[in-house]
Amino acid sequence: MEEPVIVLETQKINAWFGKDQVLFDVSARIPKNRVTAIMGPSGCGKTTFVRTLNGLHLMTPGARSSGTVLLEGTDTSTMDIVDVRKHIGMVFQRPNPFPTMTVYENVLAGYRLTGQRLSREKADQIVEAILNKVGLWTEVQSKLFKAGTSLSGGQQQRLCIARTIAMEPAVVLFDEPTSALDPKSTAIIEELLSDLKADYSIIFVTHGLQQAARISDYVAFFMLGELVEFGETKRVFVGPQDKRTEDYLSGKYG
Amino acid sequence: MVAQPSRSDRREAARERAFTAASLVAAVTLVATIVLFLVQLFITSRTSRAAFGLPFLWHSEWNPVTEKFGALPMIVGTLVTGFGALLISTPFALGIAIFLADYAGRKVAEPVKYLISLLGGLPSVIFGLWGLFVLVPIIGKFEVWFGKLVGSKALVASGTTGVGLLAAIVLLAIMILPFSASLILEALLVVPTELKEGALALGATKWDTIQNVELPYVRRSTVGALVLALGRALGETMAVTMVIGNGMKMPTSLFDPANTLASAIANQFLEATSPIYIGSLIQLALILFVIAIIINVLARVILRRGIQQ
Repeated sequence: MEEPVIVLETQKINAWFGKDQVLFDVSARIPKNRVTAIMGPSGCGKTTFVRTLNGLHLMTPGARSSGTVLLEGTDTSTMDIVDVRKHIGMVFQRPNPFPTMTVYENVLAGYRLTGQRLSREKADQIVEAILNKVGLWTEVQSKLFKAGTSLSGGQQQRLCIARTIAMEPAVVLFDEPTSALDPKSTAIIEELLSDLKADYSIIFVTHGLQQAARISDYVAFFMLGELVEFGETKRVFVGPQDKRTEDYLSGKYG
Repeated sequence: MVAQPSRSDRREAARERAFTAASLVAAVTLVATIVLFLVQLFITSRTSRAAFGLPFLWHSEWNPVTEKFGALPMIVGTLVTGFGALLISTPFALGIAIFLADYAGRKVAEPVKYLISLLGGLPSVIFGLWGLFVLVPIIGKFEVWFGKLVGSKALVASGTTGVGLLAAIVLLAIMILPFSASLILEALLVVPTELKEGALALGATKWDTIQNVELPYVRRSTVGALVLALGRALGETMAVTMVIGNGMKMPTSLFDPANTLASAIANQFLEATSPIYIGSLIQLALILFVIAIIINVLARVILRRGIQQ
């Protein structure tokens, strides 16, 4: 298989909460237009890792980090954090549409929040196109001006995906986005990923092995804050090179 | 006697009944106090109602010598000082709350929060004293300056005292500030982190997030907090009495000495000797009571809807 193009590279990322170090020298190269799953047992630093990529980690009081994140070759520490977040979108564990905004407004929330004005026509166009992309258009067409929180959990999560990709980011971080959803909604979102990766590079934190196997092209296995193994999903699942990966895959720890 | 319920069981049950009865009595006493209170106010103010009837509410003459009484100047004074204070203090309250919730670190926010609650618990006579000896002279000077500015001889001539509506408004604004600021702060602190992070992750700055996510989220609780603060301002007695100047005429400018419902009662209850004078003062109390109830119910309704949302 040919070498993939790299969209995002981390070099020796370390992260702390107060005195507790939670990430140790994590260096990873995330391929463009692929789904990269971040997996590992609870508390292994998966979520912290993706939160260091868009600087949300530092929003927690007492949190620190070090190391370099290169986004398409540019060191993100030289960029304004607001710009970094425009290029690296994020979908959270629990659906978090803005409760004071309608479905329509939620799709355009990124524009409104960053003070970008859109003409009515352009706005309508974006909303329809983006909702189509996440498969919500036919479902919510009649509810566009109801509160975003009036949708079902699965629909809310797709609405959050919609508002994220409406900003045309290069990379989208998914932090266990299906862990609060029922199996059917989970399946819809998993299916959606294979469409989305044509346009975006996806980093997907998951707790479940099966989910990682189903959805990802590449997989990063974390344990106790270390990146233990990184590679094509098939290769890692069939022939893990590290003993710890092998133990995890065979179910030796949670 | 059947032996099944042991002695300690029976003692337990008896205690249970005793506590239930005791707390029931306490609760009934509270309700009865309020009801009796209202009834008593209503009965003792009947002399005034018999003499003036409903027009008491919109007559603007208050003359103990001729025993003609009308409540309008005091109603106006109450509303003007209350809303004026709210108008001045609201931007500060919002600013303080936003700063403490989103900008100040914990090391700054904690002591400031403590200071705010300290300020809120300060006896109002202290505010009144400060108002009389510090604020009033400043307002007196301002009054003269303003009189010269707009060319009003009346202000320059009469206005050196500084007591009046404006002094009461400024003092009330300061007094209700800790109250509304801490209520708004509490509301801001419960905005879910996931919503703030959701906005930040879309490339919003902190201020974008405050404006478009946090403030809309706490809109209802903020309005509720402000209405509660208004209620405080409308009923505040001691401090207002000390700086408002006990003017019984209908105020025509913010510099005029005036009275609120509460300050009129406090200022005059000692002089009131005739039944009709007393009745009229108690009638003022009834009006204030009703306004206070309306404001509190309103705030509660707004706040409850805020929580359901």
